[in-house]
Amino acid sequence: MKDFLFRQVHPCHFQNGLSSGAFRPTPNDEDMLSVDCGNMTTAEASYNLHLTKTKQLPDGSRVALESAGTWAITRDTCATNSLPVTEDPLIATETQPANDAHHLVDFSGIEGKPSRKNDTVAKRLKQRALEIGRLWPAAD
Amino acid sequence: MDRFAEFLNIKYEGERFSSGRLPLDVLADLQALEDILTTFACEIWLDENGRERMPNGYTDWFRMSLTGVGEGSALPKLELAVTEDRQKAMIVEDTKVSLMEKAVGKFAAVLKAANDGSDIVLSPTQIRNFNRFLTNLKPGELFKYNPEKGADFSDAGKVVSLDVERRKRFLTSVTSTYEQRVQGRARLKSVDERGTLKFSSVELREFLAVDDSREPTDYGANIGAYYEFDLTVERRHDDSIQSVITIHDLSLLEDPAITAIDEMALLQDGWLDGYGKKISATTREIAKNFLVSSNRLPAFYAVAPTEGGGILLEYDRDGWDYGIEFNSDGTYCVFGIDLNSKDEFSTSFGASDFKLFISKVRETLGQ
Repeated sequence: MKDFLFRQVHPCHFQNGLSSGAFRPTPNDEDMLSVDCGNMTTAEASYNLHLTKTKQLPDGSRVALESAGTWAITRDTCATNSLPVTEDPLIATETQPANDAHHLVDFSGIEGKPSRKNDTVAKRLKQRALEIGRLWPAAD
Repeated sequence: MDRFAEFLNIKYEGERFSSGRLPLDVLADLQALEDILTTFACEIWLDENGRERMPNGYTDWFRMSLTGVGEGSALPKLELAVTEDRQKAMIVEDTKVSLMEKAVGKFAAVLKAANDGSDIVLSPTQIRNFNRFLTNLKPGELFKYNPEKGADFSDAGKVVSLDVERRKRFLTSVTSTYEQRVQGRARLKSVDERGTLKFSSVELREFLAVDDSREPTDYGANIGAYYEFDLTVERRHDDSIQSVITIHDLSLLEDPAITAIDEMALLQDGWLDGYGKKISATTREIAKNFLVSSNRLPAFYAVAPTEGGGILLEYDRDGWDYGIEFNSDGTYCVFGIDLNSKDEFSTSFGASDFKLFISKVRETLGQ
């Protein structure tokens, strides 16, 4: 798993096939895509850790986050697409566990039209993730 | 009975007719063609003989048969059988063979007028017959006729041809509507207690149909769902549907992309790890309308909501990975990457540019 960057994919982004939407930095992420460093954790551990995080529902209650599994991109792919990768260890809070392996893929320097990071660049990452395949849970 | 092989030199052109294929729906054309020719023969006979009624047995005068298909192209070989041994007294100055030759001449004249956009006058019976002729012709297909028997179809000066548009112009010049067989997908909007179904589709707009083969309640359970249809319809000049004449097939559409989009109705604000806007009914409807109006898209590999409340469809084709995005503000985006190079594109469209957007999709996905 050397130089892999694990990405948890929401079940909505894996219907029939893997959607490049899973590799888009969201406005809430401020152009930063959350990944876990494959040199510091495993695909299984990354997946299990994600499921211990919670989100707040409109009624104020909290539920666990979901994941269709762990996919991976590589640092090389990020470099090729001008996406710096930086460490971003998370400390434990009430709603999320500590995560030393947490890293950020920085989309803020993408040139061209603003939508590029969401469409074509995210597609490049998704293609690499497809080549690697789902790492956890293991495919049948 | 005298037999005349290959008495009409006709040809079909188009993808469906490649390598000598003759789709079975052409048989309905040939039957209509026989009716057109025999009706012209009757009309000529009545006119030339100053009579108002045809003699008994005239329906047996002519028989047309399909004896084969020419090699390399869809060239139906038609044989004409003529009964000359009975009721000779009815045709004093002429023979039935020459009567049919005159009928073929009138048929050729009508085709030429249709080809040229000239005025045509037809009897009500012939309007009905021509409406049944070439009903199944699809956009991009051609019917050709060469009055010179045995000749090829390279002489543009002699060959006349009809396509979907010329057929429509021809028929709507002699009557207010025309018949056409159409296939596609439409959403069931409502069904009343008498079983009248109201459908809407991007291409046909709204139309009504009555399916006597099923109970209205069978459809009532599926209001809002999409159906695949195969209909013979009567269309007006503006292509809107006057009536549905025949329902050949009407089946509930099972499309995994549409199912996935329907399921997005369950997503609430915050669906994506606490973020992610709900997908509005309008956005879902636009995406589904796109899917049902794009019969020839490659099978999609992914459909997903976007954080901003949009819908993203993704396709692979010819080494490219394409995305088609329906945004929550009604705008669209088509983009793609070449999997073997750094080539890529991304084009955005305003909410009012749906036709341009569809055109771009067709161009990129090679429809």
